[in-house]
Amino acid sequence: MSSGHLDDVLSGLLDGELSPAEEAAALAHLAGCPVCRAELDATRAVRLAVRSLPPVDAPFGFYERLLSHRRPGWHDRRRSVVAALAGSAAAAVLFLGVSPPPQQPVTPQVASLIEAHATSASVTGDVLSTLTPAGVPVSFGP
Amino acid sequence: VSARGAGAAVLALVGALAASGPAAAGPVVRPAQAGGTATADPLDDARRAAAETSFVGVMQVRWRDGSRTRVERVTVRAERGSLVFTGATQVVAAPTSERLVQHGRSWDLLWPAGLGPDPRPDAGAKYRIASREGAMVAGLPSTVYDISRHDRLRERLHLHTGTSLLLSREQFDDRGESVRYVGFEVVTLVPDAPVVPPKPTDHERRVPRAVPVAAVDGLVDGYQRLGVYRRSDVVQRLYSDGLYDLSVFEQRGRLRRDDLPDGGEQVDVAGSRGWRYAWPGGNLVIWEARGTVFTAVGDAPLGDILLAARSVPSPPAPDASFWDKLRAACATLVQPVGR
Repeated sequence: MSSGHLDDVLSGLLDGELSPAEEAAALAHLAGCPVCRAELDATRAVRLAVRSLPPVDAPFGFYERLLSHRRPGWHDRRRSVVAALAGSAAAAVLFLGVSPPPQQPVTPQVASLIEAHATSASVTGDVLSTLTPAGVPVSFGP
Repeated sequence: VSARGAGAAVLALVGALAASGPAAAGPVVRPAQAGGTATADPLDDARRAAAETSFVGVMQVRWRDGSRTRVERVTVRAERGSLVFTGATQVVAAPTSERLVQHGRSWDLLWPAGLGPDPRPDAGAKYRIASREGAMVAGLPSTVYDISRHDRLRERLHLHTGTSLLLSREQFDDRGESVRYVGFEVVTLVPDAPVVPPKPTDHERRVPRAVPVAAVDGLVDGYQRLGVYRRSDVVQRLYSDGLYDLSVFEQRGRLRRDDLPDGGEQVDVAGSRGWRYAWPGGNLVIWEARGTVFTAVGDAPLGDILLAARSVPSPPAPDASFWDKLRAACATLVQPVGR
């Protein structure tokens, strides 16, 4: 939070890597900081977009050419640096693009979803018949 | 399970209201509906009446859960559009359309003011609505609205003849048996029952944000989309056919079946295995398709919800074409910009 904003903490928040105390502090900051909320939304959107990209195969011989050994002169050495940087960037894209979208396990939070439905439906529907059931605890089974 | 947290208070209120005798007339008086086929939407009238009428009462919630019938009670207080529902959970509706739910010591804002959704479609386009004079309900005269489809009674509403306040609502299955009921056991219309909406104390984690969508669309059987909202990684699509509401929640990932609640009944949703549960306000169906977990929550009969759920469009499959994925990715990127 070098700039007074969450910065890298946002990644940890999205990845669920923060401790409960850190997460609470981050969420409290988000509640009052539109800049960080926008950053969080943008980061999440970019991640979703990247994860939905299709796998891409490297051109034939790409890695071999990248890794081939030559004794470089000055110009060759500069070309090598550029190539290495380009290769790193390509590798990063490949890593992100080739990786299959993570199939994270999901457990629907049934009680929360019911509350979300009842409250939203009550705005345009009859408030008594839609919100009264929300006052009843949700429990299933015998 | 009963409204244990507020059980003593509810019982005390029942006693006090029962001792006070029949309810007095309220401040808002509407002309009684004439018998015959109704042209106005009684649920619209009931919603307006709830926002204009001050009252205090106890509502019974009764629903069929498998072979059992379960009953709960919730106290409702209303004044100038603020309504407080007190059962095991406390829910508040503010005049500004805010909806708050109490969890522990905090009040979570589950619906902010000004978020929408779009107006519901006209129930008369799909259902036949007939009205007649009804019996007394909780000491108040009522007008009955029978809402039918294909000559089969689906819902019966009792609205207070004077104010149009909803006194009871009952749903019937294909055999004409009652499957769900919400109605006052006792109610008193009072001019002053001070209700002060609480301030939300929770951070914004559960506050939905609207997701802009280009076109109006819907599901089969007349369900029109009223809005699309996002809470964290959960997307909610809200639909209505004018009488019933249906939310379809989407979460990317793989359904962890071992963590589903007990008591689910297996159902088929367009070739996918799903699980159905009865909740106090209706039915809920959970299923997974193409890497997305869907949860449909609604107050319609199970058959209607399954029919609508089978028409929910599936997301692109993991092996979709490059252009399909690129299109989906671009749409995802554009969404936050439009907020």
